[in-house]
Amino acid sequence: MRIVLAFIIFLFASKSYSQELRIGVGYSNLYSKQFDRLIQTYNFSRPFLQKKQPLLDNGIHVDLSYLFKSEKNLKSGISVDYSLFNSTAENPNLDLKLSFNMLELGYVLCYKNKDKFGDFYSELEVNAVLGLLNKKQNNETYLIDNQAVRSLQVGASFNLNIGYLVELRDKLKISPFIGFHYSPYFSEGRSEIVINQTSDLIDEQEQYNSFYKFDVGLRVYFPNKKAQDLSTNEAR
Amino acid sequence: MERRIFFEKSILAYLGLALSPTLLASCRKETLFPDSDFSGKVIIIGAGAAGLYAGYILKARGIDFTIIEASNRSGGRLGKKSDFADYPIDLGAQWLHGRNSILGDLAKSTATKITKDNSDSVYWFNNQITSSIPQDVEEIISSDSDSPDISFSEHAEQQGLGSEYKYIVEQIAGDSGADSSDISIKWNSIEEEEWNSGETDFKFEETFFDLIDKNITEEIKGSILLNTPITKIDYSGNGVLVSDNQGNSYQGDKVILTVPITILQDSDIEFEPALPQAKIEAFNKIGMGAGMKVFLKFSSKFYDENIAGGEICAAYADEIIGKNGTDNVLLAFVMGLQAEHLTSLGSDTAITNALLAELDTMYSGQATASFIDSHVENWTTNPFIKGAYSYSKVGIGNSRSIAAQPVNNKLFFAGEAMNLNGHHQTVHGALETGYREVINILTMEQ
Repeated sequence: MRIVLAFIIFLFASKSYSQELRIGVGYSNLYSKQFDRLIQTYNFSRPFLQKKQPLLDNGIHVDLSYLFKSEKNLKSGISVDYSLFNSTAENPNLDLKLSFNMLELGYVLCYKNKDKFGDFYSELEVNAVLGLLNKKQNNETYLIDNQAVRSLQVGASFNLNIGYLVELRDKLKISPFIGFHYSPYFSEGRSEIVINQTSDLIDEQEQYNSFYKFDVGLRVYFPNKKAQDLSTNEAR
Repeated sequence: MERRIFFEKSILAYLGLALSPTLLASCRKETLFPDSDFSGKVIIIGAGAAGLYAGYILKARGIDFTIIEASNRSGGRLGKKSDFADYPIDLGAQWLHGRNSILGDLAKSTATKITKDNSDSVYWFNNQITSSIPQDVEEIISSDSDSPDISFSEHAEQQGLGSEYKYIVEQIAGDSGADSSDISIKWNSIEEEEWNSGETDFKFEETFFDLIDKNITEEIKGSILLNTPITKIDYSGNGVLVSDNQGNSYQGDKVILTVPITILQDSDIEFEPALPQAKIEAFNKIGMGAGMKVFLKFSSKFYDENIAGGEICAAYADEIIGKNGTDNVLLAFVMGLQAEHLTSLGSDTAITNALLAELDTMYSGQATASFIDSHVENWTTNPFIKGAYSYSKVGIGNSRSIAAQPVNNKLFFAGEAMNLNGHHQTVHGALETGYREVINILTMEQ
């Protein structure tokens, strides 16, 4: 958590020397074969629950990125992306909420060629990923022997984003974008305990898996005029 | 950019945003077996927790099944007696071992009243009742997977525990349904590492039997055939032909065997063709010792909540904990060689007298003076059970895994002894194997 906080402080502290600070929000869709299978097994094995647990797929994300270099059509920078996915089923006496928090922290390379592609741009990102799966039962953190039941995932992600830049006013730009994330990860092996309350009954090799995440959203750009002017002059 | 163009582009972009979740969701299936087209009949042998739950899952999937039970009632090693005390008692399994399990969910969703068993223990040590003993035997007995494959008693001896600790060690082994000279410190430890349902024990205000009976058995009772001991399973043809001791036959496509491991070890069921030799050897490497529960009713409560270390019975427990009643009932939980010894006495009266004599020694004659009644539930002499529950014998290795493997995509093996994720010996472990084998049947048909 300290690393994340330091990273965010760094982003804001550096704004005055930056070219662009971007903040985005949007919808995310997660595909995790492991989570799907565990939730499906949970539903399959509990016919006594009237409402089935939805798959852990729909979520939201916010991202913050800071592009600090400019080389012709390329900009690069650092970004942080947080996504939250929830799955809730309310049954008599037993409400279950699964939450998956995903934090990506990494390097972004942005390509924009106005002559060829107009206002479209594309990005590649390489991130470190931290995932945390937890659950609540009847609105209380789920405990086993007074300890919260959670599952931690650590991995990397490789993202491809495509967006369209729209200039609203002199400084302010917005950009609708779509993104595809592929994230291989290593799990501490507790996802089955969290979701299906078993271990090794469903997934004997659950420690190595991958997520696929699809994002659609909108970014707002806050360019730094001084830096922009400077870079424009340098380009001239 | 012109305002009109901007709005046009925005509308297009956000139509795309709005449609994408719907499109993505349509690509996902919420079922485990979208391609499974199994429409055959499943015969389940044994109406214990595993068999009942397998039937319950099959019913939910709309698959034809029959449960064939040898005894005159369902529940297997779960049982209930309502007329012994002013609260119902569990004749079989009575503790819910942790709530992080399918049964924890079932209890919660049905608002079943359960209570944490926080009862205190005393020890019968050096011929006196004491609240503590010099050595932490639990700690010494608990080991890790790197331990040599030796028994609890051998390990205790190696760790320097003297003969005065013999029946304390016996109580710990008995908790796992074993005699201390048989259970493996190594394999028991490996399996315990998989345990994830929680360490807290809970007791039912009604009974464990009621939880299963009211919520599971009730749903499928029309498909249970009682008083039908199966003697032969012929899986040589296209389907499977199951025969009972009266010469009746039952045709099915798959069979889920949920009988206790002792029934398989003793070859009480003949298989045609014979089961693979490796499987038979695996059955025999799984331990299942003798076990009985003796309920002793007294006019006064002279005893402690838990007493560990008796020579006749290593574990006594106050039955009233978690119950809504006033009768004083002490449970003698007798396992392993102690259960064999009591069984050899030949009658319930002799068993009761032996236990009363031990309690008289511990509590200065108060047991006999306040004794009212007893009930002996001897699981060892039940011909369809023949013991308590499975344990990991010295040398067990991966035998549970081999024993649980399906045979020819026709025979599937469930029950607590076939649990591979550390929950053997438990009711929730048995349930897990019940639905695991239904998953296996459906997966193999995909």
